[in-house]
Amino acid sequence: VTEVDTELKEMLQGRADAVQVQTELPRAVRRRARRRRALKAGAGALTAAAVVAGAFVGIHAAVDHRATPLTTPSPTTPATGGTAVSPSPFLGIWPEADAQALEAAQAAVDQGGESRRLDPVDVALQFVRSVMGWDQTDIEIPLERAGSTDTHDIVALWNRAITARAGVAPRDTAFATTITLDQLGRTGPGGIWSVTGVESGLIDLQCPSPRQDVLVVGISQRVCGTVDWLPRGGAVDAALISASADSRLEPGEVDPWVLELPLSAGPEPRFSGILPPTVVGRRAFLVVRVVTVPRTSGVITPGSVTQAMTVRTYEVEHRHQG
Amino acid sequence: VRTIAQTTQEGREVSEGGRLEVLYRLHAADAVRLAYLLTGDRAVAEDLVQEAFVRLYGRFRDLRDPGAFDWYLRRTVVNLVRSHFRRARVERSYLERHGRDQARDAQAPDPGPRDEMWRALQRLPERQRTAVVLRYYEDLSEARTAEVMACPVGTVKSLVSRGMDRLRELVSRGD
Repeated sequence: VTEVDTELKEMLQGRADAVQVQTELPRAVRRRARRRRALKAGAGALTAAAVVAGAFVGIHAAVDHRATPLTTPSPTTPATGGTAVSPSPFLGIWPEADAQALEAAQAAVDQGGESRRLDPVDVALQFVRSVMGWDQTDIEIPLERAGSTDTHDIVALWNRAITARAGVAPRDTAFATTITLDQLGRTGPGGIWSVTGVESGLIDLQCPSPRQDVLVVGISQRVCGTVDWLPRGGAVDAALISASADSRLEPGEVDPWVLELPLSAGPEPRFSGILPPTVVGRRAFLVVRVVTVPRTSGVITPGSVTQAMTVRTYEVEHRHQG
Repeated sequence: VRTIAQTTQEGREVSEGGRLEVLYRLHAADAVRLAYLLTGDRAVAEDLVQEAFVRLYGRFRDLRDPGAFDWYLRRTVVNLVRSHFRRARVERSYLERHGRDQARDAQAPDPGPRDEMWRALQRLPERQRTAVVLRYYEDLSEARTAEVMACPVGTVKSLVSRGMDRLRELVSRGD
């Protein structure tokens, strides 16, 4: 045993002994534990039901198979049913939602327009101003930033008005809006940057599952989760937006696709709702927002400020009717 | 001194809802201390331990070995610490590029006499630090450490050896 070994052991013990821990079980932990167990029990019941249903369908199919000759197509070569999914979807969310619009924007910058598109932080700032309605003076901007030369960037931004209202530090991790940016066309110093992901630490979006990456046309989509903080008079809304040249994420349009989600009471409000199957095209965005709402009849109107926002991108699957 | 088996048996004797409270009272402090040594951040340590209890609550019925809860808890904490550092990597990469290390800001300077060793420990790669803490603080055998870290015993030997070499180097340099 060396001197360093002894010193290390003493240091670890001393540090550990200095940690005073409240051993009373926090109420939030008890609540979360029970909720998790309930969810697991529900999932188990669903799995069991699926297994039983699958067995029934399997037996039924086997009986039918014996009773009729082989006239149905192989499942791997669907003739009357199947899917049509884009092989390489465009990744951008904002400002452009398709490759043609991106090309046009790049051409405009090449001709001397909007040089802000060449800096990922500028693009992120534009996003929170135009899409989330944040005031420039409220934005907690990264103070120092080394130039980025690769094609991928992540920018975290905070809104000082929101963190002040919530009574947390100006850069509280949960209140960060993390914006992912990529150079989707030309790369290097002359390539423009696009927003490819938006995630808020305040929104825990639980359904659709994070693993889901496809939406099926004609099937309603359940949206649920929790929010860590809700401003007075705030609401949670969600929208499924088809990605197209004219799809915009800004609030203030008359957005019939925006659904305000009912919230449960409590310190960690839970939202849940069903979005209608309105998506078309090859790609769609699911936008979930925490908003302060000067609103009329459930529709977000101009003047609302997005406190938090999470956007997920999905491929849209068209299942042909047989 | 009560053994873990005794205390966990006490946990079995109360209702299932109450078991969580009993087990929390019995094990939370030790788990927070371990998580603190692994993360260097007290608040993060408490969050991770609470998450570990939430996750383990659903498995109480599966605990046949009275000593198993302590083992599961330790292993869950180590796994959560690992996930924590994986998630933090994205944030750290952003902050580094922006010339600001928020994690460092969050850690208050500590004037304790063994600061140098503590700082050196925090500079070890996460896996090396975990192996060193489990061996030198928890006093686990190499085999037990390997079980908790879900890796071969040879890997534990290597992690501890490299970790201790690095610690000696950092401490002797006074970094």
